[in-house]
Amino acid sequence: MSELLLILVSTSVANNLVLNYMLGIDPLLATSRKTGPAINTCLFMVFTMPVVSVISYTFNIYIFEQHVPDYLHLISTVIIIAVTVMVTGLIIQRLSPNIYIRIEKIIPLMMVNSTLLGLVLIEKKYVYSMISALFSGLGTALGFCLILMMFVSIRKKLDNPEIPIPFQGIAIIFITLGILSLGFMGFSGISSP
Amino acid sequence: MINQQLLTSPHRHDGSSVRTKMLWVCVSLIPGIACYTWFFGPGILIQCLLAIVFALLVESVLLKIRKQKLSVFLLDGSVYVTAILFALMISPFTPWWINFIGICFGLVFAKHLYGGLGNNIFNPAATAYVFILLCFPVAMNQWPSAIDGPSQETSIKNSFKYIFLMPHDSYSENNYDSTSSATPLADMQNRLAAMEMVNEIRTSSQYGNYAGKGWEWVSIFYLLGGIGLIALGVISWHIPVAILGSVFAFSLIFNMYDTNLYPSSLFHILSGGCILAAFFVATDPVTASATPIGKLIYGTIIGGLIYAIRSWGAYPDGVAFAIIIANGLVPMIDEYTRPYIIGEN
Repeated sequence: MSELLLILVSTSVANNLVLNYMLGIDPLLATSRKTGPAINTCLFMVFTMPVVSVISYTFNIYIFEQHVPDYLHLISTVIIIAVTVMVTGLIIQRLSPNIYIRIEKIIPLMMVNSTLLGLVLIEKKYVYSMISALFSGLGTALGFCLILMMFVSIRKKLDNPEIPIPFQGIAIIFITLGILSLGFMGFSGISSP
Repeated sequence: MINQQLLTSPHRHDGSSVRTKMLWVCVSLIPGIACYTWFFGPGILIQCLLAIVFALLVESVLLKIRKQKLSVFLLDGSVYVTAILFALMISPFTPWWINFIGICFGLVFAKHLYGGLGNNIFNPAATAYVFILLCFPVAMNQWPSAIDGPSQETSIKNSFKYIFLMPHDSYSENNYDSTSSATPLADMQNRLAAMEMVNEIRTSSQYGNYAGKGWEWVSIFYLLGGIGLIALGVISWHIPVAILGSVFAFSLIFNMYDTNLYPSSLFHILSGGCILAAFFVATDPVTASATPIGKLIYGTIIGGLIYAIRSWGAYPDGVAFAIIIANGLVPMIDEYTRPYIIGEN
């Protein structure tokens, strides 16, 4: 139990996907303008990441490592992720159409994105069972949501005309991400084995 | 609804300005700095002076580049407070060039790229400290041992030697005399990791009655200055009380859970930069939350993060990290704790 908790904490804050690995910056910047789209992205991440994580772990252990040559691992992982995201979308559409309408637009953005692929590839280092894969996916999703919701509020402050002209817009956003990442480096040491 | 105060116009300016507030902050730091000098030698005074000189230099160059009025911004005092707080966070033995790099990073990246005073999201002093802590870990871990009163080892001559004459390339612990040691927090962390017990560690000579020898008194003098600031109305009580309260509560819970693994509450509050941060760094009016409830939430987050990083992280003191993370959360806290205007949905 304590190991699962450690995985949850370490993937959400210590080894945060955005601030530590610099992955998932594209969906972060694309959807952090307004609160509505940001919450939709959060919902999508919390639904999809654990599922993708568990399914790719299963495929990896039972099929890829035994029947697929090494050089095809990466490409087959990409295919698995794309299919999983599509199928998850369809299932959500069947179960609760209201939520599906809100996350509909993010699905093509996320299907072939480095966020989920990065999650799966990083997980290979420390995930050792199905349940740990589930917790790792959930923790990563929660960490992403934390940074996304922080950024929705921070970006309102960054539309400031006082900022020197060369640094307005995307530049100051990246500097902010960098300083935040300095802060999150304080958590180093709280990481899963 | 219960405590709603009706404020109608006309409003009167109470005469306070940025300059007077910053002056009071500097004055209230004096007892702490004096105590620091008594226990750890005059190195800290040299660091403060260096930091102020560097900060004025960097600030005037930046203001020139941004075509702002030098006189207005140099005299408002905020740059002095940033420099002094930064100097108080680093070790008295830090070489001058590390001090310079920290000041440059803090003022350029955390202050002027966001548009100068009043627009910055992150506290410049905390950002500067975190940056040099991550870049120069060996140099940042050399601290003097506490000595009562003036002594040979921490004399002005020796401090000058450490700060100005240290060879830049051969940075190792052998270059320092026997005066340098880890801070009590770092020592506690290392020896807890080596399976020693708290009571056993506390018997060693660098620990005093409550926390590290010397450090506890420095913290108490910072506390006096901070209480003075609250009494003068320069800062509100919310943030310091929330930070110290949450550090106290968290450490009490874990200390009660296992006395041998987790040091006492007083040890946590009186060691490291806890009190300095609670009264002087976190209360920076620009980067802290603006609403009373927001201030309490902000302080509690900082306290919780300080305790978490100290207890489970790799760094002995997480004060500056906690402040940067909480500064990032401030826009969100402010957005959700903002009082509603009457008539608004």
